[in-house]
Amino acid sequence: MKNLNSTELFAARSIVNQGLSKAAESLSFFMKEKITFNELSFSMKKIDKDADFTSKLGANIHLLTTNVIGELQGVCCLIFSEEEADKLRHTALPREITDDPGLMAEMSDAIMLEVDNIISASVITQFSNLLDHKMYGGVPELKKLDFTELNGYVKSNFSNDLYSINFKTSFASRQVDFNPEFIWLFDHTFLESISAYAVRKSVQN
Amino acid sequence: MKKVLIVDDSLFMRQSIKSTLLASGRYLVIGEAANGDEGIELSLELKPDIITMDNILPDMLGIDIIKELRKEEITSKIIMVSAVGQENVIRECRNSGADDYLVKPFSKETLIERIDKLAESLVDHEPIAQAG
Repeated sequence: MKNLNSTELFAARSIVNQGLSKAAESLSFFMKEKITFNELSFSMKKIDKDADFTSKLGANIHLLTTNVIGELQGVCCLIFSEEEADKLRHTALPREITDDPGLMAEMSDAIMLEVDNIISASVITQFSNLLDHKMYGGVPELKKLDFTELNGYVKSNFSNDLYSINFKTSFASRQVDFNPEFIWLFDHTFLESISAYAVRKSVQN
Repeated sequence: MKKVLIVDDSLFMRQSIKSTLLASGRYLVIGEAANGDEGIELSLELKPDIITMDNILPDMLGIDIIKELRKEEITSKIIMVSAVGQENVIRECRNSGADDYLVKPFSKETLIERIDKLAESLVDHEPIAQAG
């Protein structure tokens, strides 16, 4: 697999940052406050067998996954603790739902799936527009796990030869303790697309 | 009252669109579909004035449903309501027969404003009475 040179790495970070900014904007819409994202970790290698995908120790985890379909292959994982998921539900859903236990039970997973759908699509839209690829997110899936099960689950489902690039960040809120984690895994074509994008940009400039 | 069909696999989104439309007092939600097959079936059966259509459904893409409906000469106004915001996808949907394209997330006000515009453009439309 090729490595990115410094220009390409800069382009990769720029594209990913633009995608994550859109995702943070979308999450802000649901949280009704400004959400930002933290430092990005970017790795051009397969998932390490010792990799940790969450710092939410001791928590029950809501893992939302969306497959990237089209000219780039990948998957994204959005990780909430139970407490963060509750905060999101109570902020995003209207009172007539949160005050009604029956409706709340019905909508509790539905809102999480929709948030994941919109946040992942925000990133995919940016990647698609910038890299000039036809791609979209599939139907999201929600899995509830104990934090001890998460690493094993992600590795067994996504730690194969297909995914050779990964990047990770977490979101942040100033007002409440709310730091969902966001992981993206892509196949090698992502690097090739970044290289092509860097060349296009250098020609334009 | 204009008749609306909602096609979206997200329960949250169907509920959210439905409650926004009902609250306006100008629309009647006559059906909801959670997948493409159901969406086509209900569109043909109910002939709604307006269809809100998600683009990524478990069994097919919204754009393919639109092509199918236009082939069947369904003249309902169709607004795509999707998180997919790529310029090329929006253009392709418009070229395939979508009358409008709304990218998620959006406010209730934006949704109503866009649906009102579609309702106004219906050929034999009655003027839209503002609620309140």
